[in-house]
Amino acid sequence: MAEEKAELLKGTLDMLVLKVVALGPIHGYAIAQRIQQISRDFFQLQQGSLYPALHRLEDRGWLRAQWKATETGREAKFYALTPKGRKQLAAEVRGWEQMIDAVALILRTAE
Amino acid sequence: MRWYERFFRREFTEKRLDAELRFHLEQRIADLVAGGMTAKEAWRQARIEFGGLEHVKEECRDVGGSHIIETVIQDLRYGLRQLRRNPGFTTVAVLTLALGIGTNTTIFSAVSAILLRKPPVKEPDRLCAVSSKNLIKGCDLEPVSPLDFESWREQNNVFEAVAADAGASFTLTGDGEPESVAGDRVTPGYFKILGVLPTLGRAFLPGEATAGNDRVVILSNPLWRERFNSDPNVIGKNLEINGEPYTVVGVMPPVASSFSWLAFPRLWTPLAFEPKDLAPSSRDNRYVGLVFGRLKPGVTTKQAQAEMGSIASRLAQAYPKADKGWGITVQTLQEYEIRSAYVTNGLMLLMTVVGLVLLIACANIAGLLLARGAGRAHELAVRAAVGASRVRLLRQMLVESLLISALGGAAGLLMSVWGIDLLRAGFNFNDYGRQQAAGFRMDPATLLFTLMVSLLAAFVFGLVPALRASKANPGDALGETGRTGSSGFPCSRLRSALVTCEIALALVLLAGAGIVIREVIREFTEPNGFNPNHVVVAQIDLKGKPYQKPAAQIALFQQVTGKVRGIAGVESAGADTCVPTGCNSSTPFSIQGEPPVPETKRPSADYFVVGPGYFRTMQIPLIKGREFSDSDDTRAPVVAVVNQEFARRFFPKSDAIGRQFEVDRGQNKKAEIVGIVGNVNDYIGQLTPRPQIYESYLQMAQATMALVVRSRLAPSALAPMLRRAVWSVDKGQPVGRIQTMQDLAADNMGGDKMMVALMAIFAGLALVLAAVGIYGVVAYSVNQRTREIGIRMALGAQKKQVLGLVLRQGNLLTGIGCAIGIVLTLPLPRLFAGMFNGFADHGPLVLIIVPFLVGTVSLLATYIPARRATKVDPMVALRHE
Repeated sequence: MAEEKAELLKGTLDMLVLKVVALGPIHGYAIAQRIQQISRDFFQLQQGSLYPALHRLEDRGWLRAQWKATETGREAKFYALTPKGRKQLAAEVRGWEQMIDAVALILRTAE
Repeated sequence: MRWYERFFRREFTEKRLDAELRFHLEQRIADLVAGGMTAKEAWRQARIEFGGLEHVKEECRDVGGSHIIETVIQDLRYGLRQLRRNPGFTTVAVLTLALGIGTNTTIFSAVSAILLRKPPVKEPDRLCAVSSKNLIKGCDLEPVSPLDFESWREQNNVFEAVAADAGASFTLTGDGEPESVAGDRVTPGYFKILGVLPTLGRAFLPGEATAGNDRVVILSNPLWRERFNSDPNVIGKNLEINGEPYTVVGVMPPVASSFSWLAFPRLWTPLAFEPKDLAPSSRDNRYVGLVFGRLKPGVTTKQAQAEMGSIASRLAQAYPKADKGWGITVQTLQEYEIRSAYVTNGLMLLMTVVGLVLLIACANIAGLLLARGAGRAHELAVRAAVGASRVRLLRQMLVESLLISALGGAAGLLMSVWGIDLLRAGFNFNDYGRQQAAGFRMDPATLLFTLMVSLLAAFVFGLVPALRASKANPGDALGETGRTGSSGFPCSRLRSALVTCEIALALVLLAGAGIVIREVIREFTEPNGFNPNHVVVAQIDLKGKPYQKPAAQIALFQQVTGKVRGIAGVESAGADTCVPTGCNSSTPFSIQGEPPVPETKRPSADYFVVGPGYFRTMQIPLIKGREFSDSDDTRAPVVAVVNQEFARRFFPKSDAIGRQFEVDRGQNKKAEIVGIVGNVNDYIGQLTPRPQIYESYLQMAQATMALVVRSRLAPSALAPMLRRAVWSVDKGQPVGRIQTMQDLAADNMGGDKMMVALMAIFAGLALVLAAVGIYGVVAYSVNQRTREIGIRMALGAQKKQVLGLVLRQGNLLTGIGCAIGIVLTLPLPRLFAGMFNGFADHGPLVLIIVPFLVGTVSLLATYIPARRATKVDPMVALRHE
């Protein structure tokens, strides 16, 4: 079961991260928390693999980063969505939904 | 993280990355502790959840994409560190390569100077040298006659201007000692066509090319400095040439290059054709050495050649007596310079030789790298396992090769600076060589060549080891075998193949050198038909009005020879127009009593005009009949002496003595043979004798002859006495160079000697390199097999057996290498015979000695590590990991 989850995750991690960040500037730990929370513990990702993804998204210009102080006063790196990132998120969501429809179609008619 | 962030702000970016990840961990730990875990458990849990910290960091670092510059710089630093850590290897590799590159650069400087450099004239590619071509003999650098020159000038449409250049020697008299110098007689447009004009004064005017107005002279820079003390007011002063005053009208700038047409002549006078030169019967009087033509814009050399070719056919038809069988050759001035130097073959041979030396050096370095690669298998496997791609590893290895190459190239460049000086000194054997060598220096072309060769070498020796190393299988290497370093068969097979090739190449080089050395020694030691020891030669050139009558010429030489014979210590003296092995003059002739033969088919023989006593002086044996005597003068019938070859070839069944023949030299006098002498060589090392004809100067007066004097006196003592003897007859008559016959030979043979020295040096180098190569392979193999040897000895093998084991391996390589080498050298003798004059296709002696030599050296190189193998202590060996 864990392996299946891992397979799905590689292709969709970017999309999930973008979606989470879309809700507002957020640092890496909080993103990991959020994903786990919202998916009701379905996604328990190897937390370390989040950061290369974040850096990649930042490199591509879809995320913007800024070092700010948290509520506790410590400095942390906050990521926010750029306009380009917003467009990318919309495109990926569209693609995802198309794929879901197609799979559902096949499953239904193949019966 | 972008590559420039990694590069320029590395520390800062690293700190930030670290901070970001640590923040995550600390938050997680805090949450876990808040949930009830102990600090220790929380820490462990957080770390497990996170994954490897370093691994994540590395992945983040890789995100920005690595720029090629960054990785190359990384590779460079790594490579430098590697080289520094292995000083022994680095030294050997760099030195070996330096030798290979240095020798190549040195020889290339000569090639660049002689073959590549353009003549220092205006637009050298548009300037052509036009010469006559003797279609029967195939010689195409022949002089032209004044009438033909005029025809060429009038009829052509391809040159915008042409000028003629006739070399001549001039006698300078007046203040100081009379001096004989070489100069050029040129038509007025000459300097303009070359594009090199006098710095003082002017060039010749068109009007000065007529007899009577031509007593003007342009000085060369050295002559101006020596004879006029660099006087800035020299224009208008007089210089006495050939007994007459000439007015100085110009001084040429100094010539820095080796371009002979500007560097050689000491002065220039106008070339004025006399009426007798322009008479129709003089169309075959070919004495104008060269014609220059500047191509019209848009015309190519090929077109010019075609046009002149058709002009030649037209002339051959219109004037069959003079021009039948003659063509015209048009080439660029540069080509002409190169061809008339006759050194191209020699230079190409040298380039090939040093190229092979470099190959051997590269093979050595490749072998070293392969050995090192095997030793580094462990390290490379680790890198591969951690994620380095094969391409990356390959690039790393190549960068290291380039580093070695750069160091080797720099060292080689330094070596060649010294080498070029040595080479220049070696060319000091005659004037022409000195002048050519003046141009040898480190010019941009040579630097570029060194760079290219270094780059090429890096790939030649670096590619295969790099491929081999990057293919390392991490599994194997990280295991047992990797640690002990013996990566086994394929690697050592490659090294063995390399060494075999090295031995073969060295053998080829040595054989080539051996052939060259043997031939040159033979040239020097074989008899030439006369005794050149203790003979001194002095050139006498009669010029000026008093010597225009034959009687005066005859009288002078008779008196001078008489005076010289009277000098105490002189055994004999004579005169000769053309000293054997020093010059070459031949003439067609026809034999009386035989059916007439058309001019173009007549046989030709070497032609000498000598005086009584000549044969005795030169110790040329008289076979039959008699020598010339004083009574064979203008009142007596014309007599001649021929050599044995002449008699054998043309009078095989009858006696040559008493027969008559006529020489085609314009005097139309029938000569009767009165004596037969031994054969004499035209040039040193001549293999087949040629027919030779001698006539007496008492009957055929000559203005230019060489005095030959046999004496046991030291030349330095004899020379002033000779001069005094000449001046006692005519105090204004300069005596040209006084040389011993040996000097004369050295003039002509010096080039060969230098060639021999160079070939010997390079072949020796090759042998040393190959020996080092085979030593390296065997020593390394012994090292690798230490454990095996230890086991064998522990099991009872004798020292002798171990020795035999190692020797067998070395001998196998040597044997194969020699076999290949011998096969490769088989075509060499014939190849050389074709390339160089006078090289015989001699026997296989060289092909026996050389393999023997190479084999012995290889055996020695094998023996040393073999002996060390026997000293292995089995206990130590078995523990050797």
